[in-house]
Amino acid sequence: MNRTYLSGFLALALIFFGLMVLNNGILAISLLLIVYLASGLIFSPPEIQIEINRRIDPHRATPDDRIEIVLRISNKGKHLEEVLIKDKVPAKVKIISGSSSLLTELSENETIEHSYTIQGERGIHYFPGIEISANDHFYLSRKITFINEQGSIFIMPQVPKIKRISIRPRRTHVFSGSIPARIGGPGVEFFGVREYQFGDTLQRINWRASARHPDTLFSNEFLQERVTDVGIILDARKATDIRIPQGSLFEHKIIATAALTDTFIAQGNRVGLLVYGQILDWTFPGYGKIQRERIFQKLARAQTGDSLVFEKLDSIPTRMFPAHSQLVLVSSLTMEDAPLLINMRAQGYQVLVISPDPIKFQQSSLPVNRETALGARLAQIERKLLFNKLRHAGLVVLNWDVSIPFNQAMQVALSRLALWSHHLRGRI
Amino acid sequence: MNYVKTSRNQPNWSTARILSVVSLIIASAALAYGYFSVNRWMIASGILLIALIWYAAVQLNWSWVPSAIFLLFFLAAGTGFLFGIDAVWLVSSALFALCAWDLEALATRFDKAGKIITETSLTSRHLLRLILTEGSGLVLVFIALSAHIKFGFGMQVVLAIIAVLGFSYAIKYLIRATR
Repeated sequence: MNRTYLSGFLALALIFFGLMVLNNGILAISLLLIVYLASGLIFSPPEIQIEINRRIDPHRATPDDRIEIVLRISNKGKHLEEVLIKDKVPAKVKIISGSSSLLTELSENETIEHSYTIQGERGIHYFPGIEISANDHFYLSRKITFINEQGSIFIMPQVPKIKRISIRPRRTHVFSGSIPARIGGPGVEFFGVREYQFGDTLQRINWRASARHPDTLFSNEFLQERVTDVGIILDARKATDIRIPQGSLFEHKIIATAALTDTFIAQGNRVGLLVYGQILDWTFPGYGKIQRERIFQKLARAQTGDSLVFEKLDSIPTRMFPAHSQLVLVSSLTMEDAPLLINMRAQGYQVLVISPDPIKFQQSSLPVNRETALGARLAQIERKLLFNKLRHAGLVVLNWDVSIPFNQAMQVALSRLALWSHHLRGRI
Repeated sequence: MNYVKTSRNQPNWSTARILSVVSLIIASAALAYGYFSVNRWMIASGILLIALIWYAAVQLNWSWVPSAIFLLFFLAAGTGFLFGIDAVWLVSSALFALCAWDLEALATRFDKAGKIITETSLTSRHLLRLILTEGSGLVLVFIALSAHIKFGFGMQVVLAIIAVLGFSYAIKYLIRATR
């Protein structure tokens, strides 16, 4: 109950009661309250003239990083007896040390600094502003104001480091990179032997082949290494996401996508991202650090969603991706996804599927008993059948048990992809 | 002195809260003694019981209970005059009940604020204001109790109307200032 109302009501009640029973004692004790209320009236706080500057360090962080918020508070008005400053913290941010609210007194022209530390979930978080409430010592009169000191923090996804992803798409660009281009020329890996051409260096001459043909010289050719187009498709359909108390499977997909983006861009490739969920969120392919930043910002904002149109993967607009380029799908996959993926492969795309294991993820939150184990086993059999079907169609499918960090689980498999896909092609 | 709240659920035993409890003990003891002196055992023990409820409410973070009990203390002090209880006990109980209520509110504000800079200074300035205010109130109360002025019925009605209007205006002003 409002303190002013309460004490005012009580004083009035005592006055009435005293007058009714004509008792000066009752009237006299109401004076205690009257003087108390008068004090609130006399010492009511002046207009709030406070300037606040918020410093955020760092603005960009990962979910594990600590972000320090420093508020520099300057009182440009008169002395404030009691002032409560509340920095409104975004919903998905938690305070790990200190506090976002501060109670103090502020003298005229006084400046103080207040700091606290936060950690945030993936995303871009906006600070709505700062609420200031000044009151007299008895909290009878109060003035409230809101300072629109906005700020934002960008919590980007964690990016596990992967040394190398070995892909071999059919089409490459003219710029040199790290993807073997199926064309002879300068490089490291042996490609073939051709007749000597004017300008070939002595080091390139294949003396053994030349010795067999006395009148002709032969030169070695190496596999050219170039850059390529990589399209990453992040499956953000709500149907393929699993939420357990420990977290969401989608967060692991984000981590995988971030790691792949980072590595592909570091290798010099042109990378585009399609977030496939409630809408098609397309980041046009590009090179370099700026493109990596663009993709990370998209990943920071990415959320799962439902849509009747994008319920199945068949609405992926494959024309967005250059023909014969490398596609990477990060999805936990459903049985209905197989035909579309096989179709993509048939169109000439090299398709790599990184599939975080939804069964093991969900099983980690379920009780350990016979029924759960049997259910998980049946689901794994179904999943293996799906993988076999996709592998038979020439797709490379990697299963990721998310209890193991992405770089540890995938490092070896990703660096030997080329060998694996070659082996698969030979087998089929 | 920097003061950082340790937990939202547990009340902090700040100076304000300790003084609030001390004031509560004095207020309840004075009032209970007053009623005890006129052989009103039941009311006296009821007062001691509600003082215990106040203490329990502080522990349980029931912030509305101290306000309700403060109201009861004042009404009990006012009613005490009708039983012929000595004014010293009643006035002192009302005075300390007001102190207890005010200091409990300050302690609650300290609990709710995440960090408090200059807690000692805030508390001491608050106490100084409270002592001055209650001291002036006490002086006025004793003047009112010792002065005997006789008014006619008409004059009493006029004074009552002035008091009501004045009060309403003062409360309105305070509420407006809170915006």
